This record gives sequence, C-alpha cells and structure tokens, in this order.
Amino acid sequence: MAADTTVAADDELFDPTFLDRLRVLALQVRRRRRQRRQGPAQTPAAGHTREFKDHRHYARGDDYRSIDWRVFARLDRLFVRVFEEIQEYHVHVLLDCSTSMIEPCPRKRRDALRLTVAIGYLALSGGHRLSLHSINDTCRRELPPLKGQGHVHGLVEHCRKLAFSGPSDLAVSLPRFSAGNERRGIAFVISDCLGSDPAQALTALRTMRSWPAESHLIQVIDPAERSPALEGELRLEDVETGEQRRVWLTRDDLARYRTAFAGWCDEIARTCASWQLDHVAWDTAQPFEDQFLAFLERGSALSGG
Amino acid sequence: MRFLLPGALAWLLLLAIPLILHLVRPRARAVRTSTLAFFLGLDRRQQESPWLRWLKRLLALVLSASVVAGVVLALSRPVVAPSDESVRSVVLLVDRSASMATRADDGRTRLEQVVASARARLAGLSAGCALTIIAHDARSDIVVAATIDRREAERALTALTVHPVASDAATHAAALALAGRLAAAATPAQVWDLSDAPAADTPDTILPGGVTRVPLSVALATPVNAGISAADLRRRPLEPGQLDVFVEISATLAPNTAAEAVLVANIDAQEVALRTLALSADADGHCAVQRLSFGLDHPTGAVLRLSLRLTGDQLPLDDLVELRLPELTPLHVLLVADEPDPFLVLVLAGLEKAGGMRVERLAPAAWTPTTVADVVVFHRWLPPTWPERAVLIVDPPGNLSPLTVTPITDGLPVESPRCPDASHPVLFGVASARVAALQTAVLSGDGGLQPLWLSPAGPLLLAGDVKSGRAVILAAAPARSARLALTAAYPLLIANALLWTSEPARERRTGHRHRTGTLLPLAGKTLTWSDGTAVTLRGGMAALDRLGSWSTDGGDLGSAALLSLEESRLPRAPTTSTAVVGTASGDWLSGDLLPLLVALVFSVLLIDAWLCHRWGVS
Repeated sequence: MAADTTVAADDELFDPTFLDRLRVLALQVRRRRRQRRQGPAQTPAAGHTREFKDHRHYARGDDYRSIDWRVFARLDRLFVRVFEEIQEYHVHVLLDCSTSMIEPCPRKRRDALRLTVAIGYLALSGGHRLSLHSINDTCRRELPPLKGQGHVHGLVEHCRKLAFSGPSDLAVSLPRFSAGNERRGIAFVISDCLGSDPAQALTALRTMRSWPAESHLIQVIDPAERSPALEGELRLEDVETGEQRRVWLTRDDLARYRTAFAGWCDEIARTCASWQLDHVAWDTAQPFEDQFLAFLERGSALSGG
Repeated sequence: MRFLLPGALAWLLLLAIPLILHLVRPRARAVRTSTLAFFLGLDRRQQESPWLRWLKRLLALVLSASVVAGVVLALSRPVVAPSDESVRSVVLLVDRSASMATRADDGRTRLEQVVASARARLAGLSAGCALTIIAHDARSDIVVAATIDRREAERALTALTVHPVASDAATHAAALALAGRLAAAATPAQVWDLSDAPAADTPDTILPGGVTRVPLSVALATPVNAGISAADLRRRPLEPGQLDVFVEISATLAPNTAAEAVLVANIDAQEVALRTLALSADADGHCAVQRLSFGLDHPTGAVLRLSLRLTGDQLPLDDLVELRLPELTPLHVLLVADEPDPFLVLVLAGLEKAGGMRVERLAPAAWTPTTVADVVVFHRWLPPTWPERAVLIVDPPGNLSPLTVTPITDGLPVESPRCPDASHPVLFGVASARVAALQTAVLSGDGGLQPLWLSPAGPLLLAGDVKSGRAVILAAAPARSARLALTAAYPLLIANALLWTSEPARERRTGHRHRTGTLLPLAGKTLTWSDGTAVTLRGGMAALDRLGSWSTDGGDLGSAALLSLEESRLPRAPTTSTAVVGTASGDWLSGDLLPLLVALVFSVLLIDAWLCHRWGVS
C-alpha cells in the first residue's frame, strides 16, 4: 500500500530555519570536537596527505617513493618523509521508508528525514563521503556516494521526494546492504523496527553486528505507538499489511499493550548493547535539536568522538 | 391461543428499541496502526473474527428481543384454551359433599382434582367472562358471585373444602337450577358441573335457554370404599337395660372382586363388639347393602363409637359414627282413661314390672295439660286440645284436630292389615301378618301422621309428628280383638309406640343423633365437638357440618354422622365418558402461559448474562 509520502508536510520537514539551525548544530559539534582535541588523545596515525609531518629513518619495507633523496644527498643516510594522516569516513544512512514510518504517525517521517539530512550535512561538511539507502522490504541506494558540502541541497531535495511505502522487513533489507569496502565507515539505521513481526527485528539486528562500520540504530517511535489512546470497539488495520482485526479494548488491555511495547523496546536496546551497537530511542514528541545533540554526544566518529 | 389482555401487546413496539440499538450502535472505529502484533498478543477475545463478532451481535439482538417480547407476552396473559369457548359467564358448580374427599392413588382428593382442573380451564376464558362459584352439598352456597377477578375466583376455589355432608340427586338438581338462574344473567353461559357424579346423571332440561351444562366428572374408575350408611340405637321394648345397635354397611369395590371389612364398636375406648363382613362386588362394583345388629347389655358410657375398616378404603368420612347412648331410666307413662282396656292395662303392668317404665293412672276429669310424663296414653278418651307431648291413643272415641276419626259401628274385623311401611320403628318385631283386630274407626290425619296399618275401610294405625310431639293412634278394641290382645304383637306394638313417641324427649336429654348437614336449634352459645372444636352458635342455630358427638353449653347433646348410602356408594367413572376433567392437565401447552413465559424470560436473561460474561456477547 503505497502512500503519498513525498509532499506531506514538506514545510515542516525542512523549513527555512532548519538548515540554519543545522549549521549551528554543526558548529556546536565542531566546537565540542575542538574542545576535546585539546587533550592528549591525538591520533598518531600517519597517512599520505600533502601535509608534511616529519622524517624518520628508512626501514626495510617502507615505500621507497617516500625516501627524501635530498636529505640522502646531504647526509648520505636514508630518511623517509612522514605526512599528516587525514581520515575520511564513508557515512551510510539507511532510512526506513516503510509505510509505518509515515502512518499513522507522520512525525516519524519528519524526524527520520530531518535526522537523515542532519547526519548528511555533518558528513558532507566534515569532508566525509555520504551514501543514502532506503530500506523497507529491500534495500535500495538512493544517491551515489556524495562528498562535499555542495551536495547538501541535493540531499535535501532528494529527501523531499523520498516515497514511504511498502512493508518493513529488516530481516531482508539489512542483509542486502551492499557489502565490500563500502561498508566501512559509519552506518546509521533510522527505523521504527516495526513490521508484521516485531520480534524479527531483533534477529535482523544481528546483521548490523557483522558490518565493518560504526553502527548506530536510531529507533524512531511516536508516543502514540507507545501508549495509544484507544478504547472500546475498534477495527484495527495494519498500515503495512492491510490486515484488519476487530477488537474490544479495555483499559486493562491497553495496560498490557504498553507493557508489551515497552518490553519490546527494552529488548531491542539490550540486544544492541550486547552486540555493541549504538541504540538511540528517538521520541518524536521531544525537540529535535536536543535529541540530536544528545545523540552526537553519546560518541560517534562523525562527531569526532 | 388467546390473550387475556390483548391491549398489552402494544408494548411489542418496544422491540424497536433493541433493534434500533443494534442498528445504530456505534460502529467499530477504524484505526490504522503501525503493527497489529502487539494487539494480537492481548486477550483471545480481541482476536475474534468478524463473522464471529457479527454472530455474537446477532445473538445479543435475538436475546434482548426475546426478553422484551417475553415480558410483553407475559403481560398480555396468553392462554391456550383447551376448547374454543366463547361465553359471557360461567358458573362453577362445585360438589363439596363427602364423597369428594375420596382420595385417588395420587393422594389427591376429588375436590382437589376438581379445583386443579377448574383452574386450568379458567385460564382459557376471556378476561371479560364473569365467574360465579357455587359450592353445594346438601345445600348450595354462592361462594363467589359474578366476578371478573380471576384471582379472587382462584382463591375461592383453592379455599374450598370438603364438607362431610351428603348430597343426592335432589340437592344436586337444586344447585344446578340455582346455577342456571345465575348463569342466565349473561348468556351465552355455561355451568361447569364439577362433581364426582357420572356426567349424565342430571338432565340439562332444568337450565334456562342460553345456558349450557358442561358436566365435568372426576369419578374414579375403580373406587374402593366401605362405609356406614345407617346406624341407630334402640332400647329393646320388652327388655329394659338392653340396647340394639343397628348398622347398615354400603360398599363399592372393583368389579367382581371381594373384600373383607371389619366393624368395631367401642364405648369410651373399650371395644364392645367386632363384626367381620364379607363384601362381594357385582359387575358394576357395587356390593349389596349389609345390615347387621348387635346387642348391648346394660352399657355404661356416653358415646358408642363405630368404626369400619377396609383395606384400600378411599373415603374415610363414612367409616366413623359416634352415637350417644340413650339413658336407660324407666319411661314415665301416664294412662288417662275412665275404664281402661284390661289388655292395655295388662301390657302396661307387664312393662312396669319388667322395669322398663313407670305407669301412672289419671282420671279424665283430673286431666291437666301440665301433667309431667314421657308419654300420655289415652284410651277411649281425648282431651279438649291436642297435648303438647308424646301421646298414644288407643281406640279414639272422636275427632281431635288434626286427627279425624270415623267410627265404624260394631267394628270391622281386620286380618293381616296391609303395612305401607313395615320398617317403621313402631312395627319393629310386630308380625303384622298375624294380626287380627276389630277396627273401631277409620283414621285420617293431616300433617305428619302416616298410616301403618290399612284395612279395606281405611287406616287403623297412624304414627307421626303432631305439633311438638309424636303420636301413635290405634283404632282397635283390644278387648274385642282376641288375636291382637293375646298375641305377642300387641305388647310389642304398645312398647314400640311408647318408646318411639318418647324418643324426641329422651333424645333431648341423652343426645340427638343426626346426619351431618342438619340445621338444629340449640340452647346455649357455644357448641363443642368431641375433637375439641368449639363453634359459636348464631341465632341459636347450628349446622352440623362435622363428624362426631357434640354438646352445647346450654345442655344439648348429640352426635352427627354422614350416614348416607349415596355418599358411601361411590360413583364409578363410565368407561366411555366423554366429559372428563383434566383435558388441560394432559396438554402441557395449555392454560395460562404466564408461568411458562416468566420462566423463559428468566432463562434468556441467565443465558444472556452467561454469554456476556463468558463469551463477550453484548
């Protein structure tokens, strides 16, 4: 069941102030990163950038192209030049584009897209490579790897046009996330983890454990899903499968529902912790900026943590 | 099926309420959810399929509509009439005589059977039908007069009790005539003749036009009963101190069967006689009436109690008779005559010598009406007016109202006078066929005088009630009737006459013996029965509607017993009876359906509650 997901509340998604606020967010992130760099934990790694760093004695196996022949001419000893190492991350954003991300709580789509854009902005402005994938019952690359801050506008435009439809099946879509060196970097999975069988999400997360990347799961949940304001006779319809059930809900039933839902969320958090995956419970009712900053402060290569 | 209150059916419009509630009840709100998984994990009740939910709703609608319809139908009082009768009034003529106390094998009396059947039939009448209830035995009482209040009629029916009183065809016909007159007030009408009498016993011709008799007999198919249909005590005329007890037994048994009954006589709880009777029934179940007598020699005590036992006896009311014993003191006889007949004097002297009486002689010139004596004997002399006492008149010389005497000059020899009533107590033991007398006059009397001997010329022996006493008049000259005076018949006749005429006066002192149902003038304010029951006398009258001996605080004594051949000989239901009560009892879906509907409503409510709580049908 496809839903018209491309135009809904675009103004709310990326209003004119959002990008400004995003820049402020990026500055805040860099400031905090610089503040953290004043400590002793600078990386000793050396790379092959143009920034010269030092000389050292040649050792067998060194690349002979890095031998400084001028120093050899003066000192008759072999030295190799050491350059500054500049790391570039490949940031992967896997955005859940299933129907449940837009119905019945459209705020989930709004926050998910904002998260996508925010992460992408940070990645592009930080000189990292950005890839955007949409996942529902499959995994599809939405954009070729982007690099450079000039792609932010294109990213935003693409996010505006993203269609949210189809069922969610993490057990199928996550394994299809392209393998190879591309999988190195930082992966952000933005999803509600809901599907026809939420328990399968737990199994599907095992896939993320095998990724050679720093993996983050941002679980976007709306308060209406945690504690639905439903009572009485209802005809429930699953937005992804279209299945309908008539139920008669009492307050006791709702209490049991809330308990079960919270237990499921806790189970996902525990599973992620046990598999060294970062899990973020994103509440669509909370301010975006506060949650995003709190998310970055948890530690991420993207934020220099 | 009809409705006693058809107007209440308008409440069936209330059925629209559950229907509207069913149709316009809030539909299930459609809610789109991210996933159904967490809802499916709730109670199994939440997982009902749509068709099951629809079925439950339909069931709830049916149940609620059933409750409403049941209540409304109950209010409209539906009845299923055993027959399609359309009458404006019904008179229930209920027999409450002694035979209605007959208990069937199920333990119910005939009256209970009648009441139950009548109530069942009443339910089939329309609400506007007027009901009258007449209970009858020897007399008829209007228990309920023309009412449409069905509850009042049913209460009155339930309150009916059997009276140990005999009824016969005449009393039944009188009651039927009364019922017919009452029923004629609103025709077409029916008289439900509820009795144990065979249905065809009474003709319908005594009922007015527009009134139909519906005979509803509850007679048993094979009644079994033996009862005392008659009992009496007599002093032996010539043997003072000796009593004769006369008992008549009537019985009804199964056709062509035999049984043995035992009669026990007790005086003050001491058995004084025991007789065994062999009963044999004919093809109709009737046994020949058995009469027996036994003597009591100088009995001491107050009450003779006769009880009859028969295995399987279904009517106990005729099995017990209490008789107060007469006093055995000598009779006081006053002989008024100028020159009394020597044979008469001889007879009286003999009786006096035996101790049975005390005889005084009085010259006619000294006659005063205030003379105290049990019996006054006039011989060839009569007072100016009829004395207010028991009298024996021998050879009356002239008329004395109400007695008319036609003298026969020189007399008329009469042999073997004809006896219209040979069983009369005056003739007990008298061999009338051997009598030869010289009739001196032809007697005739008005009122209660009954001829006992008849000659070709006319009556020569009369007996009966005259004014306030009994009288026996003999128009014969003993001295000139050798075969009368010299035979044993003469003293026996005189002794019988003296005892019989003095009997009412003696009974006033020693106790009346009556059949139940008799209305008596009694002295005193309270009548106390032998079982201790005290009844207040109203207007100095008492209806003897119980069995046993009784006394009043005014000094009156007596006893009452059923003593009815008609009641003891129980009627037997004809094998081809066409009108038998109980058609309603055989059909479970007949009569008033109110209890059935109430039960159904409660059942539906219980089912509804159980389904609602157990299976969520609501």
